[in-house]
Amino acid sequence: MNPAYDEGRLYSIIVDIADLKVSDDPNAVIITHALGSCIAVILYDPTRRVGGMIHYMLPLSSTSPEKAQQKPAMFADTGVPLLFEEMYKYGCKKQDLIVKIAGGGKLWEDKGTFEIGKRNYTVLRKIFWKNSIMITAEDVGGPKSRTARLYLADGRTTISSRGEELVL
Amino acid sequence: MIRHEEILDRIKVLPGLPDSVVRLSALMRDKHADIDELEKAVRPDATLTANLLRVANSALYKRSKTVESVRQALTVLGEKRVYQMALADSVSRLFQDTLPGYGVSARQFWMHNAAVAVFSERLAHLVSLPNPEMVFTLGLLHDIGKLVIGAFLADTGENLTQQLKSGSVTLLEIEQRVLGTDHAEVGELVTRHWTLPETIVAVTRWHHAPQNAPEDLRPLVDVVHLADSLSTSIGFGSDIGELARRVTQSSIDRLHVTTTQLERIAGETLEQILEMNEFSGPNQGGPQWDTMS
Repeated sequence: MNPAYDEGRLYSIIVDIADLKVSDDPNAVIITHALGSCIAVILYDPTRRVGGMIHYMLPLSSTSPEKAQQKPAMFADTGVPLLFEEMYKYGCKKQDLIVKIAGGGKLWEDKGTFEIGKRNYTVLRKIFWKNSIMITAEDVGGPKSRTARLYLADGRTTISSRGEELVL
Repeated sequence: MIRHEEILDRIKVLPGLPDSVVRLSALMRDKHADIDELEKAVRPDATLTANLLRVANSALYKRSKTVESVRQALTVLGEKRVYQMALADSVSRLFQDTLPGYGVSARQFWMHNAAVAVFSERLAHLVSLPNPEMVFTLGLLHDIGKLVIGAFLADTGENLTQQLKSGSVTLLEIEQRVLGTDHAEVGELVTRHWTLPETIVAVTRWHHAPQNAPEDLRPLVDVVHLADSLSTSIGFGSDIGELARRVTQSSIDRLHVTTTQLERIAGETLEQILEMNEFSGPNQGGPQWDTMS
């Protein structure tokens, strides 16, 4: 455990929708709420104890290029690379990063018009495949809204939904 | 099960829809209404005036000079935005407390309604319905029945989350099972009690079953149904039902809406929704994105 860690001094860093945050403070817990069809990518470097999270909303920036300029974290294809770059600024190396994902929930429907969650997931997998990034753990899909938490002290990641919490 | 009389008693003690909502809706419908009338409708309301000035002076509208009057705010924001801000502000005053039974804070419930209003307007525009600005109001009020039955749901003492987890049952179906009615049926009673226009009555009544809406009003109900689905999908103000709800395929077919169009609407309206949440929701200035779990 990091010597600077003090359980009594834990505080939250909130990641809003279409937003990303990175921190190396062991007392920080990075949290995002209400992941419906949106996806959170959660990165943790156990050697440097740096963590980061993005809560992106949509798969491709080509839907609204102008929005992608203002808010790159809105889209998987512009936001996820940015999250990795922010981690690199802390000295992190790609091969050291533990990658977890959560979200991508779906409504009940017949033909998939509302499958934004599935598209969010598919595009993310393509980005990871192209960049040789492996997913360590994931909790995706289903008619769920999720809250994701990353504890910077040790990289513990929890997902809560429907009154239950699981450790990812 | 709750008795019809219990629901009616509860509706009678609901605060009425603020006068300004009715007045502004009428102004919005009237093509000849001018800026003076709008200014007159807004000015007596100090809270509304203050909120409009805050928005007009916010970073979103980069201005070199401070906006100090309702008239200037009208120029900066445009009439349509002022109407909508005013309506949102008035309606949000009904949503001041945590909504019992549904596991949502006032702020989350507001966020959901704000998102449905914004999405409804965009969808209405996309499918070329007349008066898309009016559809905004329909979105704001679609879930009003929840204000009435929330307390009854909480009082049943049933574990609703457990029931939702047990299978492919929607929250609406659970409402029927434990209360003998649902928020859509009760929404009709509320909007009739307030003597609101038939469009609003139909949307609150049929937003989960658009196929049953009167044919002439069905496009409006389809729009709000899809906006409601999109809002829930994205995660705006999720309640204990989370994403367990059905999208009516015939609404999608009737409006010919595609996934890409839905994604574009969601992406391009995010700022507007967050802005509504920040400036006109309950507990203004609090966290934008609070937790339910």
